[in-house]
Amino acid sequence: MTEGLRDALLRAGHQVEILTMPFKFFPESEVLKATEGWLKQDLNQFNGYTIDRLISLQFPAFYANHENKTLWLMHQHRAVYELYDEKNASKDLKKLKNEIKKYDDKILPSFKKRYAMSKTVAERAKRYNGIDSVVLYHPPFNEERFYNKEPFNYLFFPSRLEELKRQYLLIEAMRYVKTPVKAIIAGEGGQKVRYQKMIEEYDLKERVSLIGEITEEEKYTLYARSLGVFFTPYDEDYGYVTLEAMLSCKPVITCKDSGGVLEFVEDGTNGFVLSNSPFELAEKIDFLYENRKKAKEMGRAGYEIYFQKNISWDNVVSKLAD
Amino acid sequence: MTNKDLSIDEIIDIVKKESKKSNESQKSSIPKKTQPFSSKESYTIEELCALHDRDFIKNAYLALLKREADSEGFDKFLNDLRSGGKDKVQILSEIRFSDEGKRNGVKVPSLKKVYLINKLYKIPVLGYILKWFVTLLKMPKLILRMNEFEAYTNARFLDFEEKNSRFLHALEETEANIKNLYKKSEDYFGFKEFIQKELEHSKRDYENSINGLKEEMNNNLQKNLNEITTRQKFIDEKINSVMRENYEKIKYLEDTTITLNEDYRGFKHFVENKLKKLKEESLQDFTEFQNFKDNILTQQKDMRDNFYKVSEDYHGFKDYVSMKIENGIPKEKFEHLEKELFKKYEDYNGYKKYAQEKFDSLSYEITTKSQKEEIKELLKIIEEHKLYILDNQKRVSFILEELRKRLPKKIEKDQIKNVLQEEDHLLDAMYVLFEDRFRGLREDIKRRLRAYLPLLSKNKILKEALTVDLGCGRGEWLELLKEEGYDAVGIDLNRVMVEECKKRELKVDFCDALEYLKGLKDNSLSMISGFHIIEHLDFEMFVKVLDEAVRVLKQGGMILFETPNPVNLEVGTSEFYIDPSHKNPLHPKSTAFLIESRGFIDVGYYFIEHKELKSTLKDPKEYPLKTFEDFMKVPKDYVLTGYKA
Repeated sequence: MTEGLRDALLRAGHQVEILTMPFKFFPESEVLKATEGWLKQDLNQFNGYTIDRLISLQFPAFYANHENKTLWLMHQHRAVYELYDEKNASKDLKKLKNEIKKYDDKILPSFKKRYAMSKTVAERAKRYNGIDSVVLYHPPFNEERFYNKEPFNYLFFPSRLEELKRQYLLIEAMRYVKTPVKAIIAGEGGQKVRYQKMIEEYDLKERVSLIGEITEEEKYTLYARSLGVFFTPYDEDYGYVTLEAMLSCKPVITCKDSGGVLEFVEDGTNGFVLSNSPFELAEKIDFLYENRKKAKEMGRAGYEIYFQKNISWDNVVSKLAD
Repeated sequence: MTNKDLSIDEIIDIVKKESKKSNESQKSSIPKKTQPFSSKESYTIEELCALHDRDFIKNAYLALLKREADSEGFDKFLNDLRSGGKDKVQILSEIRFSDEGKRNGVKVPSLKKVYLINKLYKIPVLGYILKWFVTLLKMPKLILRMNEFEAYTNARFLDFEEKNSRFLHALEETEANIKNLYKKSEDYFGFKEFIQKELEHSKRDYENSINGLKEEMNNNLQKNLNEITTRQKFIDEKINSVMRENYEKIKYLEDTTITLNEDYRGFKHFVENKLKKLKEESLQDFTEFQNFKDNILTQQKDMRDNFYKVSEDYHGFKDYVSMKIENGIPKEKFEHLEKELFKKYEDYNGYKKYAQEKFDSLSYEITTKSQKEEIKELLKIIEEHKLYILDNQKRVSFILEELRKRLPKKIEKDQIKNVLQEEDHLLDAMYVLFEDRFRGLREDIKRRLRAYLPLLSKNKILKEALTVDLGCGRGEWLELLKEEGYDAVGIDLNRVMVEECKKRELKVDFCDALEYLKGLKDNSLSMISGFHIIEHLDFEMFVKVLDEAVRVLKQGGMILFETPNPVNLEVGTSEFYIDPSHKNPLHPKSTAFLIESRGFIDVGYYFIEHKELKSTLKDPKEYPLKTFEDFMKVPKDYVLTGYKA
């Protein structure tokens, strides 16, 4: 997203630089160090140049100070907000939570113009830090490469193999799918071994495939030839997969607690919003297989919804850099 | 293709292969939507018809459907247009009133009319008739349009011809330019070749000259090298011959040294024997002398014991006397006591004579024995005792006097007081000894005091009036003043000191300094001096003395105070405190300031440097205080001077 914004700003004729630092999220003391480091940054003047505008995107870089700063909130430090578990939190984490909340409450309201990457992010900021922000969507990377073709019989789930992405919901659902539809899960991550074990255990080797890392071209084609896209993360910030699916004119199956995905998927119009129950999910997977025409229609509806929402870099640039 | 039978792996395979083929060629059946370059909510028919052929259709899609034309639709409409089957307006209406067009809802006034009419055309027979009818109505407009079109086309054609001729012209020019450049490049190449040849020539010349120089250099080097080798040979021969000479000389010296050594040893032996003999002799003398010394010491001890006994007797006697005096004592008892005392006194005198005689003989014996160090020690101890005896002698004589005075008449309380007050001066003798030990011999002191003579000559009124030395001690300064011809008087609170001075015929009084000054008239003195007295006064006392001094001095009179210099590290940290009657070290700066503040002008201070035979006054600035050593080198005494205005 950052590079996309930079390129869009460059196309619009601005001089842009990206400013970032490697971020260690463990141990908690490193997080605090990074926070304090960014708090000290005054970016009004830089080596003799005046910086006219600062666009802050995420924690902990949004602590840097500037007279004319705009916030386009991508992430806060989720570990101390919605992912924070009071019972299991270590002492260090508790301390970190208090520190970060203190800083966020102080610094975030100091932005005069506040945008958020999605409604989910905006609502979180409102709930935890009491600040309002305007939702501003942006296109996924290489949006023009996505295309649509006659589907084969598989559902596609591209994402990092992480706990939060919950590919296991698809694997669980495939146990109860009655039609010959397959599932292709693309991506690498820490959960790979666990998912492989699950597939073996449930004897789903013929139905579910973990194909690992894929190239960009393969990705576009996998989208284009899928019957539908299965995307059920937990409380996703935004969800590029949803947008990519819509650009490829494919229906999206998601869950009620998937966060940002729900901002683009309307149940029954361009996809389904279901509970986490594998039976419910399997039901709808079968439905897509048995109603190919309806699936195509839903896909096309998704495409139109994409354009209705005016998701473009021009729009982003006009709001952030006016 | 029935996809239902494909396995998952097969699907993945196909997809991957397909992805390799794809790049830009893949177009979706529903193409991309982009914002048109001038997207508006409404258009006029004229606007939309302003473009032609491919452009017209492309634009129509963008304007009415807000997307790029799909290949199917595009081809279809283009065909319709080119074949003449539909005109532009008809195409526009078809697009606008399709399902998609309706959804987009772009306003094009009057287009609906066209659309509806076209729909009517579709009615069989009636539609055909209607078409003809409408065409007839449209005829004049059509002819107009045709003429317009013809004119337009002609205009365009002319434009094109013009552009074309201009283009051809430009082309000719370019051709000419290229020919020019070509010729120039040929010239350039010719020139380049010429330059290269020249470079070759000069390179060869250069190389030749370099080689020539090299040869010359080599020849020269060789010559030099030869010379150096011959010279070196010559030098080596020389060195060898010199070394041979030296070797012989060295050998000769060695032989001589050996003989000398032997002689030396023999001589050493002889000297050692001599010394041994002398040592034995002196040891004999020494043991004799030691014995003698021991004798004296034991006698001393006896004397001392005796003395203490007498002293006790004296105290006892004193108490007894005082008691008796209170109670009244018969005459006879007094007489008896007197006799006893007399006897003791005579014993003392006798003993004193004996001691003196022994002492004299001793000093004679000792000088012939030449044991100076031991003698000096002994002399000192004897002096001590001399003084002790002197002191007690005085006391005893005093008591006797008092007693004699008392015998005929009643004893008055004043006289008793005097007796008792003598106690205060018991320490006097000790102090004198103390002085002797620690301050130095009289002669040394006098030599040092000569340093002040220049200061005296500065004082113009010195010869006019009296000068007073406070705390004159043994009177060295007074003696010096007398020698220089000044009228000097001294005062001291130590009876023994005062006696000593009086013996040397110096004018000294037993009196307190402050009391003495208070007793003098205003403007009566020329100088007031004090050597090592002010450090014995506490601050208030010193101020009082200064105030009196101001009053008592004549105009132009001076004060001169010598005192230990605490700037010297040794003095300031240890030597000052040897004398327990010293109060506080007096820093020259603050003391000078004090003197000035009490009304003296021209106040200054000098450091006094003592060398073996001479002492000099020094400016304190000559002693910078930077290193540790500097603090040790500062003189140990300094003198303050001040004048009355």
